[in-house]
Amino acid sequence: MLRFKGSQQFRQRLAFSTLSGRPIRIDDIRTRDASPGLRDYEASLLRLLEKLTNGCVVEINETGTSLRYRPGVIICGAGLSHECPASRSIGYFLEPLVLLALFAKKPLSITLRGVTNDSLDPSVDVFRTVTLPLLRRAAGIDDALELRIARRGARPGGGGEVALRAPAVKALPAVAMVEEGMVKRVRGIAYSMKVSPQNANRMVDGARGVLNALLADVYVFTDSASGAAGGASPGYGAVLVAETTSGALISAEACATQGEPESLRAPGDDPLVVPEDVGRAAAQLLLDEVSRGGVVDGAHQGLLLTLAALGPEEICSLRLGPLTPHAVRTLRHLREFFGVVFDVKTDAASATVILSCVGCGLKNLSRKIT
Amino acid sequence: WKAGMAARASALFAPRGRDLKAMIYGARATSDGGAHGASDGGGGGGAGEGSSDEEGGSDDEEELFKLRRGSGGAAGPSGRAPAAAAAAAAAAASAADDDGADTTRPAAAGAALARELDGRWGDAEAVESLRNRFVTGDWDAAAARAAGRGDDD
Repeated sequence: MLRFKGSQQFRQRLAFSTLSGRPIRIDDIRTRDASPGLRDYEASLLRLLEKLTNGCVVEINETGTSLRYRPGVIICGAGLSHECPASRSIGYFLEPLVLLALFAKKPLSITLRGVTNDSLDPSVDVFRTVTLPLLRRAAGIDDALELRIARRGARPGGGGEVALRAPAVKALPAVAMVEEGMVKRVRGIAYSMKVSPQNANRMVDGARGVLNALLADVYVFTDSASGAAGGASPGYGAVLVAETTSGALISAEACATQGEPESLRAPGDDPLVVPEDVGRAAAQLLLDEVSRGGVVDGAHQGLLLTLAALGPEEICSLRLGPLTPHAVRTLRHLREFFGVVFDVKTDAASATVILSCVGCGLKNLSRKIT
Repeated sequence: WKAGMAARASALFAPRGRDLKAMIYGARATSDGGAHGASDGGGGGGAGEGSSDEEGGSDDEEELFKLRRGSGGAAGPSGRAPAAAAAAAAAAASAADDDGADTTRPAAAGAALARELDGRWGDAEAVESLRNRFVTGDWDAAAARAAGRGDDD
């Protein structure tokens, strides 16, 4: 039994516990908070895990400040659905979900309802345009991995709906992604929900104003959802993806929605409102990510490190930019759960870090041999 | 406290891979390992702790009740040496309280971040400095950059 403290990396601990089959215990979950214990989205994640697995045991104490989790067998399957609470967006649930689906008994097909785009979690657009291609490339999946956005939903009302299909694999291949390449084109989506479609065009103008100085091949699609497809609340934002000559995808996003309960924003910091500002912020964040270097952006470092660590017992090597706090925590958890320790080399010339590891060779034992 | 300052600063900003590894793996994630893991992290772990002490210690000391805010720690700013930036991230990861916002996204764009971004990328020179990372730039410089495979210990 592994013991942890605090609610940080809650999803990752549960996902790694389920994958490795090792029970965990988490203590001191928000013990010093005004409202201690698990939040509604964490309880929702536990219910989602119960839907996907067979025989898992969750024990929570009276105040909700400690949790014991004994993982079951990952089953998944088709025709599932889950209501995500409006406190976190669907991206929060998708990240552990897709990792578990790879090692399930049956292919996953699930419908998630809730907030599709917010400023706290990766949006469903980033998931569709960057995370899934990264998984296809690193996990060697050709097809049957797709995310369909049926309806968009902004905070606070939500009302979005996405459908995820993910196949099960037997084992992951070795990951070798060292070439960063040069940015050859930038694609993006400027979405708006229940507001004038003009806002999307204004975000495109803001983004192009920054990026056209470096590159002519910038095309931002507009997606103006209205009526039922626009969910329950107004909002808009932009997602930009830079593609490099080596096939790496670097993403950045900014949005204007309201009512984040636990925002990363400092008190007194106003949300962005003017569409041009949103577009410009997204473009400048993209420049930030490109200048950091590495084969993935900051948001996907943890996922790529996880895929490398779960791979076969061969050398995997990755080039990443300066590690984010989330990536550092991921590295620590990978050592705790799977015993995988990465070798870290810094490359002073390009200001990047080269990480290499020997994977733990995780096999999908429940999948039938075909 | 001034005695070890230069040594701590140089340990924090020196681009050394070994220390980076010690800094990442210095503190164990499980509560069993506790904070003892950080002490045998050597110079790296010590430097990480030192920096967080300097950041936090200055104004929080006399405040008996301090507001607990859930922050995942800001991403390391770009343009610094990788070890230093990653070290800052490692320090943030260990120093950030256990109940931070559980998100992979590095930054949420609000007005303050937008102003910071404008300061960083507002002038044309800063944007132009990234030219070699784009296909419109110098391909030889990019090839030289890609050839680097890290400094051996």
